Amino acid sequence: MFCSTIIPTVGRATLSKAVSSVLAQACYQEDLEVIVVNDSGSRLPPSEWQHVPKVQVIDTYRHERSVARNTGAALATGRYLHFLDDDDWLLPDAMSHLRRLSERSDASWLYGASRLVDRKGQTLITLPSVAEDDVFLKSMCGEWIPLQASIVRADAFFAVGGFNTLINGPEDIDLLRRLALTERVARTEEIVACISWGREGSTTDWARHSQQSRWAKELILQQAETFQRLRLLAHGPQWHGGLVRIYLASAMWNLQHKRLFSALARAALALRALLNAGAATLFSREFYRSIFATYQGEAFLAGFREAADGA
Amino acid sequence: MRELMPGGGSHQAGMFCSIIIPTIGRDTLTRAVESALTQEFWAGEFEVIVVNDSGKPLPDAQWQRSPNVRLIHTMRRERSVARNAGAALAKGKYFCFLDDDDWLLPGALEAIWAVARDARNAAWLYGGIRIVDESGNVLGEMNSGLQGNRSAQVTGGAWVPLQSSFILGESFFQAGGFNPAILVTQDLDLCRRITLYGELANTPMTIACLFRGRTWRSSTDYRLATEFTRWSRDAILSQPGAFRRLLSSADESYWRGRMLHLYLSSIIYNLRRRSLSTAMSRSLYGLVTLGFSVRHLLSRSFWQAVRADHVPETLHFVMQAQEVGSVAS
Repeated sequence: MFCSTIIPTVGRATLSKAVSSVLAQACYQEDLEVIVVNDSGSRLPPSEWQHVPKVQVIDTYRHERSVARNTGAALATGRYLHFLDDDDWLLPDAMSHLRRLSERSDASWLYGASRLVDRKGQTLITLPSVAEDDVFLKSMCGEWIPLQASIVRADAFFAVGGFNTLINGPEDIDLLRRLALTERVARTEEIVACISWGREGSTTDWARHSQQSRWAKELILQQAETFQRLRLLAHGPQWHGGLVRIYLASAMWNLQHKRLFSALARAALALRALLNAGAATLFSREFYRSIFATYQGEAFLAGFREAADGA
Repeated sequence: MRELMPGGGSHQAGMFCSIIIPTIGRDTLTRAVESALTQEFWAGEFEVIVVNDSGKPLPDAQWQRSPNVRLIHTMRRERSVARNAGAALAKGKYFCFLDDDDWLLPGALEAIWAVARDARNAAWLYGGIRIVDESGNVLGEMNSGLQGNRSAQVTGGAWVPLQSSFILGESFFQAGGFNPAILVTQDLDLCRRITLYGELANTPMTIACLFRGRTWRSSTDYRLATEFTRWSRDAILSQPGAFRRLLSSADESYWRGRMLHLYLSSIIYNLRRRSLSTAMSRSLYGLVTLGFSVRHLLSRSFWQAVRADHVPETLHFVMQAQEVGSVAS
């Protein structure tokens, strides 16, 4: 089995569209399966797709997304895992593109471009797939690679322990960071998924989101190999600045949480990143901009630029 | 007439517990499942979830036709993933994780139900465990009888056997379930994390059997245990509020000494990992522990606990005691 698509659902009506988009893949139908994890706590309305043999429906009891996804992953038989949400969908050639990519690369996270659509299905912007070589650094700065447009090698997924079930909201980017810390990623430029955008009807707790995001990042910064890995990926003033910002922000957070020793350790690493940047970089305006300004997602910037050009 | 469920009936159809049995396809599975299905228990409903992680179909068995059993398949993902998956599908208020070569004793559910009725807020209920070989000889029996906040004891080495435990589902998920990255002693790790915030409750009754005979084979590589234990204990010490919680549970000299031991070994562990800031933070907490232990400083058991590993109340100890006993007789 090439890929298992796991769709956790809270019982939204859009679920059928998500499932059908996998069943309508142009190629490799015999090599795909769908696992719908009904976490709504009530029965799903009967639908045609529930009779398709390659679709399996399991019920969890309102344990939130990460538990539902991990459970679906545990039951999956595919070499790759694909996590779709119940309001998003795949484009018909998605699996062909990703499969071709998997034949070229043994990376543990494969991803394509995606399209953000509003609740009416109108395209807002296209998110290109960001360059793959320094994804770990970029993701630590705040870059987002949609889970919906990615497939993850199952053995790598389980090796890092799957989704952290204590994080709800930024659990997707957290998984990407933990994988990219040690593993390689690879991309295709093709658009593979459509993602519903907007907070309306979302199950994410946005108030908790930034707090959890910070905490998830801290767990990664605590790991001994993180700094070394980030340092090797930082090229050019923008990314040297990004690296300093990561550790400065962490030092502040630790200080706020009265973790004095950790705060000092992070501040020391921020200083090391600063010295590491080299004398020429210290005179670059871009370097300071990326230290003091919020990170602008590369994919979003490109998407907005393209949308503006189009208009 | 049916009695009310302990702790109210907010759970799915008011089911009391789910017994989750991950299996790698050993023959002993039937004994494990039957030991659950034959429980005489009228106070509430219960279910059995068998998670077949063997990667192969299971041989046909009578229990597979029981309406109280659900069988799911995972693809050789190891027991933590299998157990977490079983838990996510479970409807019970409490979870019991049995291995496929262990079994419950008659009256186990009844005994645990009584504990749950009296200790509504406890996160982890458990009873005694009996260790048995292939000919049915009892190799040892153990029940540490810990109640309430016993965080220092659990983190410091007292063994609360998973097989004779019933864990409150809510606490299980709040703690994040089993950590699949821990390949050995993941049950102890879970117990440390749950008891860091939750309370223990105990029945003196022996409720489960653990199989350890000459023919016993495990899929576990126990050589890794020491390293995972260090890692897990260090993670506990990093949790917010850990110090206060440990301190309030370590009321005797011995356990206060164990607590100091935890901080001291964490300093060495972090120095080895070159995590200087964590080592410094642990040193500070070690000093504070010492400061809080002034009245224990003259006690011999305090220093004994600081120096050596905790041996009583471990599986190894129970089995060795038996061996010594059998040689003597």
